[in-house]
Parts: sequence; structure tokens; C-alpha cells
Amino acid sequence: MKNILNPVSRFISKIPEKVLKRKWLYLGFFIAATVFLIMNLGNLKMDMTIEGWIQDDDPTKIAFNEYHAQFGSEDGVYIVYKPKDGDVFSEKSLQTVKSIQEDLLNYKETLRIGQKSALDHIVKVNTVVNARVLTAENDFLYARPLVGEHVPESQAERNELREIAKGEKQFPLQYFSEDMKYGGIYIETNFGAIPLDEEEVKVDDLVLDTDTDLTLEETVTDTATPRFKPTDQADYLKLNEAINEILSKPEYAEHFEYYAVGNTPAAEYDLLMVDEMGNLYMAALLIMIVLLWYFFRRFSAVTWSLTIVILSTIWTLGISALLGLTITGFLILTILLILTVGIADSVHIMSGYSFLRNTNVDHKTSLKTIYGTVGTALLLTATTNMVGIIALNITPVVPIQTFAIMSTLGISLAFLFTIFLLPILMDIWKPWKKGDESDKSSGSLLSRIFPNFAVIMQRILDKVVPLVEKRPVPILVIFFGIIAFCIYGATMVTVNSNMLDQYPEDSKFRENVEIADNKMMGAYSMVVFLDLGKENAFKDPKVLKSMDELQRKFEEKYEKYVVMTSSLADVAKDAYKKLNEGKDENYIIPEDPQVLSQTLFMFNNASPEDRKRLVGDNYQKANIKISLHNYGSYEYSKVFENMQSDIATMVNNLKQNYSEATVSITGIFALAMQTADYLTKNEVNSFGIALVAICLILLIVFGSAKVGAAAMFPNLLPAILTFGLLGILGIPLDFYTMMLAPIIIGISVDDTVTFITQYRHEVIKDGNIKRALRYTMKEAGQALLFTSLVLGLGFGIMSVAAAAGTSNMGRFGFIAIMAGLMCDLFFLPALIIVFKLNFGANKQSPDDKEETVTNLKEQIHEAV
Amino acid sequence: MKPFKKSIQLILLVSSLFFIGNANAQSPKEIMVKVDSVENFTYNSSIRKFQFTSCRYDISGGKLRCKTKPRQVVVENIHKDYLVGPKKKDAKSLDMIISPIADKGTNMLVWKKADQDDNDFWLYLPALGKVKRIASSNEGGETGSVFGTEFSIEDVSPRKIKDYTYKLLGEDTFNNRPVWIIESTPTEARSKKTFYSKVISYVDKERYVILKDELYNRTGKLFKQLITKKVDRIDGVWIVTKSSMINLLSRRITNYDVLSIDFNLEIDDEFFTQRAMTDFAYREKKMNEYRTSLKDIDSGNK
Repeated sequence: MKNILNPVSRFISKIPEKVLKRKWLYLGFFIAATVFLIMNLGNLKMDMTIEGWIQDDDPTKIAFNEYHAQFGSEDGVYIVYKPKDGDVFSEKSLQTVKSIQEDLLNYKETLRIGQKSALDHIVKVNTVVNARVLTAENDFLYARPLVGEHVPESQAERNELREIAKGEKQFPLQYFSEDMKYGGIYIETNFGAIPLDEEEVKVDDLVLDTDTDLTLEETVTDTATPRFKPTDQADYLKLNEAINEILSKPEYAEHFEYYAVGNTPAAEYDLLMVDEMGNLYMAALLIMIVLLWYFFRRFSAVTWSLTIVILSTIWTLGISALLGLTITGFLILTILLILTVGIADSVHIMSGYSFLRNTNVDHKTSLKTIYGTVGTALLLTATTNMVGIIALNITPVVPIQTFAIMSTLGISLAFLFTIFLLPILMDIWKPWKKGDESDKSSGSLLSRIFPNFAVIMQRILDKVVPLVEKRPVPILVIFFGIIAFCIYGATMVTVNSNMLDQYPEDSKFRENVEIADNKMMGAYSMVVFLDLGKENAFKDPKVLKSMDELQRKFEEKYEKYVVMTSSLADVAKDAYKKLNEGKDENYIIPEDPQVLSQTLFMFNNASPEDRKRLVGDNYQKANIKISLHNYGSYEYSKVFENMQSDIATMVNNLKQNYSEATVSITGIFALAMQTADYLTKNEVNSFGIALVAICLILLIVFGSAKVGAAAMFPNLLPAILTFGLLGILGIPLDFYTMMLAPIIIGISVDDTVTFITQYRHEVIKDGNIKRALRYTMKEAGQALLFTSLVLGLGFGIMSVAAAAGTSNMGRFGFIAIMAGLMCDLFFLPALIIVFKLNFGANKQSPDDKEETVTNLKEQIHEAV
Repeated sequence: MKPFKKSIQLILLVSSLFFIGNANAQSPKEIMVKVDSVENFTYNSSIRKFQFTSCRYDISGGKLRCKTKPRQVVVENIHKDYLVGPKKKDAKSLDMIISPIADKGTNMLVWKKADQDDNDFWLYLPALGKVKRIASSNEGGETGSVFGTEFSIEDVSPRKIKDYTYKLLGEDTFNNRPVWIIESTPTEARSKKTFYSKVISYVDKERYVILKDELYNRTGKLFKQLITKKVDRIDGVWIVTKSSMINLLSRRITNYDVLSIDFNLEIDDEFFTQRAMTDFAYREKKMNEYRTSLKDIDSGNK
């Protein structure tokens, strides 16, 4: 295997020399490119929505878009309000809701001509005031608003309204709670239903300029899949702000308490989470800075490590903007990964460099030596890390794909900066002058107060190998025991993503969702979207009856989950009843197709907007809306499966008459379920592929199956330990803990590969395993301890986060990093000793081309 | 079907000579009064056959295209005016669906009274065997649709001069014709009933025909556009034979095309009662008499 590694090692060792020759040219390039990429950052797109999780060509997404094309957006805002007087139907409550509704709709008056407002996204506002009641008076059938323009002053009149409202099947829970203490305002928006290809053309311009009649009958029916503009986080925030401005008016706020749910109000809390993440990231960075200084005692070392991390981050974001990638909530993970890898890379280099400089090796030779050994290890770790991350790309979940692409980019950039930029930086501002000068650097006062950690560490590290040598087998037994136990634990891990988990326990948004869930119609819903492939299909009594049966079945069978359902079937029954003297026995779907057809005709006439929301113009496509309580995806996945099979049964029955009938389950909730499903199915695979790929690389690079296998265990353990702990502690794997895997693998691979590479370097010289181990522990061990402590504590700070997701990431990140360190200190050396891994060095055939480096190392070794 | 005629711009012109004078000096209200006169007092009865074509549209490549298969409804309409004073009349009309077959027999009777704010609309559905009254205004909500098209009941009810205040926004040319641009804002009383917060009309200066109406909803958003595409002169009467109602928010369009028409025929008063709605034999017998005078619209005759 020397054949591969040795030339690579020689090549990398020459890089510092080469770049230093033209250092200003290289530096100029890096600065110019950085400036260019910073200017590009403005183009970054952000998407935090659930629909952003799924690829555009995914059947669930297509159905989602077709549903939007047919029926408009369902990405609305549901504001539950609690009047102070405890009655939704009090005069003041009705008046307040009416005023809020008017403010939400009549904002145009306050705008200048041509001025835009976030409220433009509002399509309709539904409240108890304007909720339409289909009413029959003698021969007069009309849909009228429940309250309308005048809020009745008398209690009797309002009680009458209350009774009418209670009698409307779809009003309770949507507009008021059972005890009338909570009310609901539903704001329909156009989010997700703004056509992507919308051109800025006025309709009349078209009609008149073309000078042709709109001969609609001659135009081709368009069958292309509709595409819609993804909703930007900023759009949600702006609308939320505009709505809040109205709600918080003193005259409303003093009477109402609000509990708003939906993507729009969630954006506000998402932003809080992002802020918290940002603060924690800064805290982590600060901890790392302090530790870096504490270990290296050189401001230059701290500065250059951070420079590598910051540049890698900027470049990654800038290139992502150029590539048109849309960033998601996973960005923070990418940034953390870059931080991890960047710090590890530069610490490895600088730790080795300082080690050499402290033994009086001159600057240039130190650089060359350290790049030859550590640089090679860095190349290997970067490669394995990238392979691991790319393996994650094998998933249809878009944010994970983006995460994989950006992280791969980040890792390679951190590596490139470490190889090409760091030597220049270290040449400009040298972290270590000469061994004896070191104590005179600017931190000398502090140095006296704090003991030099490097010295203490070296003493500890000196004791590690002798300890392992004494009891290698028990150590192996302990570690394998842990692995076995954790594998058992990992089998108990459940995947459960609750949309609420990203918010802290005491978050207002959680309270909002709970109120909406317990008192009203719930914060989430799914939609059964039916296309029967034939015009007027939904005027067929059989079709409406099977819809009705399905709804009743859902409401009974899944009582715990389903709050309410609504569809054209309900409307048909209601209209038929009202057309027939309002008798309860007429709350049925008429048997005669002609009667049904004309009942629907009547309804369409009275309330065309409501009809358009339930069924397409030619009665070929319709939907059933199912309002749901909030539970985690684990619980829902089973229920969801059963629901799907119930729906499939219904559609199969319909297929006898409508052979082209298709059904899809869509809506934000369905997309979330689909995503959870993909994650469960794919994550384990990706994880496995990543591991196999990494092992294969190690095998090829080190040229020894034994070494490859030995390296695999320390690489695996931190990840297995984490998942094992999750399983044993009963913490579900969610979107966030799931993403720990690549970071953990990244860190453990980094450390293990560095260790083995350096060990290999030593052991092939004379085949003396013990000597090589001691030396490697002394040189690489220091870097391992440094990186593990810096990253472990940096990660650890995340555990104080209020949001469960971030907090778990911090906690388990810390545990995994420390486990990785223990593996490299004890597990790996024990494996090396027990299985006598010496890279076939007993043949005593040192590659003579390696002489320079080897000789040098020997000199250094002697010096130590 | 007088009210219907109004709003779909069934605008007639006996002669522009009526209005020779210093047009520029007219107030916007005077202009709209003349538009009302031209629309309402040029014939006293009519029969026509027309067609609604509706679909959900999208705009691509500078063209408006149907996204769904267009739906067609063919309707026969009988209309009669009853003068009750100078420039003051009641009107009655009956609309009967003749296709699609599933809806055949469905009909709508409209009584418009000069002294009454709301018009009376009745709908007859043969399968239900019931005549039902439907609302022409809806406390500011959107009114029901006419036979499932983008024309709402309010759209086919005339806007009364007394219910609006007018403002001249400017003058321009529209479709190569000089126009006044006039904004009609409902009075406070009217604004409680109408779904529209204002209407901007493009009035043909020569013929006092509205060439385009922009209808703004209660939130002040441009909601619908009604565009006059063709005006024909039949028996000395100018009449809009093609127009489009475009719902910009729901992206739906309905084209209105007159297929055949005749004016000033004798119509029994009894034809505008519930008997004609429910009694198929009576209605067909009468209609066969009236249909004889129908003249086809030549689509090339602009």
C-alpha cells in the first residue's frame, strides 16, 4: 500500500514549499474569490417548509401541486382566540372578530397606489361572522353570513345565532369550541399556490392585442404538472408580522388572547430557534477559541484555525448560492460539520508543527514534515468523510440532499484551505518562532497563571500505551462488550418526528398547537384528493355515498386522531335537507342522480366559492379534508397506513364504474408523514452504505484487510454508542438526532485515520509495534486530545439549547466525540497490539524513496 | 333578462346623434346616465339565444389558455320592459337552459322593479320540482353564480345611478376607441350590499358603450374584468354580442356569445310567471312562437 500513500505523501509534503514561492499570488486569489463569493451570499434561497422536503417529481408532491392548482392553497393561518368574557357569541367578541376580519381585508385603504402589502397573500378570512349558512326561507334559498354586517345587540338574537351555528355540521370546532370559550379565525392564503410561471401580463392586454376571440373550445387542454413558487421563510414572517400588527391593536388585544398555528405563525418561532442556534454557535466558537489558545498559547494559531473554518463556511455558502441550492434548517448542521472538520484539520497540522518546532526543527522543514504525514492523513479523512456524506445523498428528501452536497463541499474546502492556504498563513504570522522564544509571546502572563496543558497531556499520553500493553485483551473485551450492548440498544431506536419537537417545552407555539388541538379543530390536516377521470362523476349519488361512508368510518375508527372531516358529501346532504323543509330525515344524499345534480346546482348557485373549494368545475375532481390532532410520526405511521388502505378500498370499489379513478393523500401533514417514511427507510441504508464505503477506502488505502477491519471498529463505536444510548434512553430518532450520524462518523474517522496513518508511518520503519505506538501516541495523541476537547466542549454547549432537537445534538455530539477519543486512546492501540498490525513491516523493506522523511523523523524521535 | 343584459354590456345604441354636444364638458355622472339610457331604453322586448363557455385558464406565451376542458351552457332568454314613467321602467325576463341535457329545463326568472333596491330571482330545478328564490345581493358577500359561470347574480343586476358616486379618472383610447375612464364607488347604503368596493369603467366616447369594467372586491383587489369584444348592429340596434368575464383571483373565464337575437316582439305577460318555469308544455308552445323571428348573428359582422 505504500505505493499509493507514499507518492501522495511526498506530493503533499512539497505543497507548502510550492505555494510559499508564490504566496502573494495564492493569497490574492483566495482574497479575490472570497470577496466574490461574499457578494454572492445575497442570492442564497431559504426554504423551511415541509413541501421543500420532497422532490418535485415525487408522486406525493405532484398530487400536492395538483391539489393546489385545483383548489388553491391549504397553507393558511388558524388563529384561535379566547375572549376575556368567556363567550364567543357575546356582543363584544362578535364585534371584535368582525373588526379584525375587516382590518385583515380592508388594509388597501391605508396603502398608497401601487404599494404592496404582506396582507396581499390573504385570499379569504373565515370567521364566525362571515361563515356562510345555507338558508331556506319558504321558497327562498340562499347562503348568508351567520352574523353579517350587524352584530345583534340583544342577547336573544345572539342566542338564536348561536343555535343556528351549533346546528351547522361544519361550524363547531372550526369557528368555536364546544364550550364556546374559544373561537377560530381561518385565514386562507395563496402560499404554495402562486404559479411558478406566472407572467406579468394583464389579461386585457392579451385579449385586445392579439385581436382574436377567446375561442376557448379550440384551446388544448393542458396536462402539464403545475408548479408553484415555493414559499420563502421571509414571506411567512412578513405576513405574520402584518397579522400580528392587527391582532395586537389594544382594542382587540384587551379582549382576546390568541393562539395562532400554521406555517405562518410558526415562522416567528422558527426564527427564534435559528437565533438560539446562532447564539449557541457563537458560544461554541468562543469556547473553541479559548481552548485553542489554552492549548497552543499562540494567538496566531487560534486566528489561523478560525480563518480556515470561516473561509470554508463562506465559500460553501457562496458556492451553494452560485449553484442555486436552497438552504434549509439543516444549514446549522453543515456549519457545525465545517467547524468540526476545519478545526480538526488545522489543529492536526498545527499540533504536529508545534511539536516539531518545540524540538527545534526549523520552520520550513517542520512544514514539509508535517504536511507529508498529517497532510496525507487529512486527505484520507476528507475523502472518507465525503464518501460518508455522499452516501446520505441516496435519499429523496431534498434538504438532506442539499445538506450532503453542501457538507461535501465544506469538507473539501476545509481540506483545500488547510493544504494550500494554511502554510501561507503560518509563514506570514508564524505561530512558533523557536522553542526557547515561545514563552515570551504575548500570552506569557496568562501562561504563568494557567498550567501548560500540552505538558500535562504529554505526561498522560505517555502512560496510555504502557497501560494498554499491560491489559490489551480486557480492554478489547470491554469495548466489544459496549459495542454489543449498544447494538442491542440501537435495535430499540424508534423514529419519531413530531413537528413540535423543534420548539422548546415552554414555547408559546407549543401552547398554541395544544389549544388548537384540544379545544378546536386541530393544527394539522390532510387531504384526500380524488380524480375519478370522468366529468360529472361527483354528481353520481354512489360516489358521494362512498365518500360519506369513508368520512364516517374515519371519524369513528380513528376517533383519537381525526377531529372532523368535510367534503362535497356533507354539503350535498345539508343542501338537500334545506331544500326539503329542513327536516333531519332529509340530511341524506339523494338517490336520484338528477335530484342530486340539481341539489348541487342549487348549492353552487347559492355559494359558488364554497363549491369551488370542494369540487372542480366539471365535477371530476374533489377532495375530503381531514382535520387531525397532533401526534408524533411514530404513532401516526401505523394509523396513516390503515387510513391509506381504507381509502384504497373505497377507490377500488369506485373503479368498477370509474376505471381511471386515482386517489392521492396530500396536504402538509401527508408530506411530513411521507418524509418521515423516507427517513426511516433510507437513513439506515445510507448509514450502512457510508460505513461500507469508509471501510473499503480504509482497506484500499492501508492495503490490509486486518487493518481495515481493525479501523472499522473505532470508527463505528461512537455512532453505535449514540444510537444505542438513544434506544436505551427511549429518545426517538428525529430529523435532528438522525443528522448526528455523519458528524459523528466524520469526527471518529478523522481521529482514527490520523492515528493509523501516523502509526503506519512509524511502524513500517522497523516493524516495532510498541515503539511505533508510543511515538504515535506522543505525536498524534496530542492532536487527538486537542481536537476532541475543543470539539467536544464546543458541541457540548449546544446541550443547553431550549429546543429538544438542538439539545440532543449537543449532548450526544459530546458523548460521541469523547467515545471516539477513548477508542483511539485505548481501543485502537489494543487492537493493534492484539492483532499485531504492523503493515507487513517485519519484512524490513523500507521504501528508499521515503528516506528523507524517515531520517528526519528519526532525528526528531531521538531529540524527543 | 333585462338586468342580465345590463351587466354583460348588452349595450345598445340607437344613434350617437342623441348625444351630439360638448361631450368633454359632461360630468362623469352625466356620462353614466347616458350610458344607462343607451343600455335600457332602445327596445322594449327581445328574444335571444346565447352561450356561456367557461374554464380555468392560465397565461403562457402571452396567451390565455384553458387548463381544463371548457364547459358550455346554451341558454334562451326572453325579455320584456314595462315603462312606469319617463326613463323609468320595470323589467321581466326568463332564462332557460337548453344544453347540456342534464340541466335542460332549469330556468331562471328575474323581475326588476324600478322602485325596489333588490331584484327578484327565482330558480326552477325540474328534478327537485321546486321553484326557489335566490338572492341578488348578499350582505356584502359574493352572490351566487349564474348557471355555474363566472357571472354572478350581482354582475347581471344593473347598477343603479343613485347607488353610486362617479369620478372621472381620465381619458384614453381603449381598443382603438377614445374612452372616458370613470370610477363608480357605491354609496354607503349600497356598499353594505355589494361585493364590489368600486368599478372602473372604460366608456366609449362615441357610442356610450362600456368597453371594459374592472371590478374590485371588498378588499380592494382587482377581482374580475368584463371585456366587451364585439358589438353588432342588428335591426338598427347596437348590441354587444361577445364579451368575457375574467375572474383574476380564481383564474377562471366565461365567454358570453350571442348566437341569435330579435327585438320588439309581442310577448305574453303570463310568460314571466312561475307557470312558464314549471309547465314544460306551456313554455315550449310559447317559445316555438317566439323563436320564429330569431336571427342568427353573423360572427363576421362587426
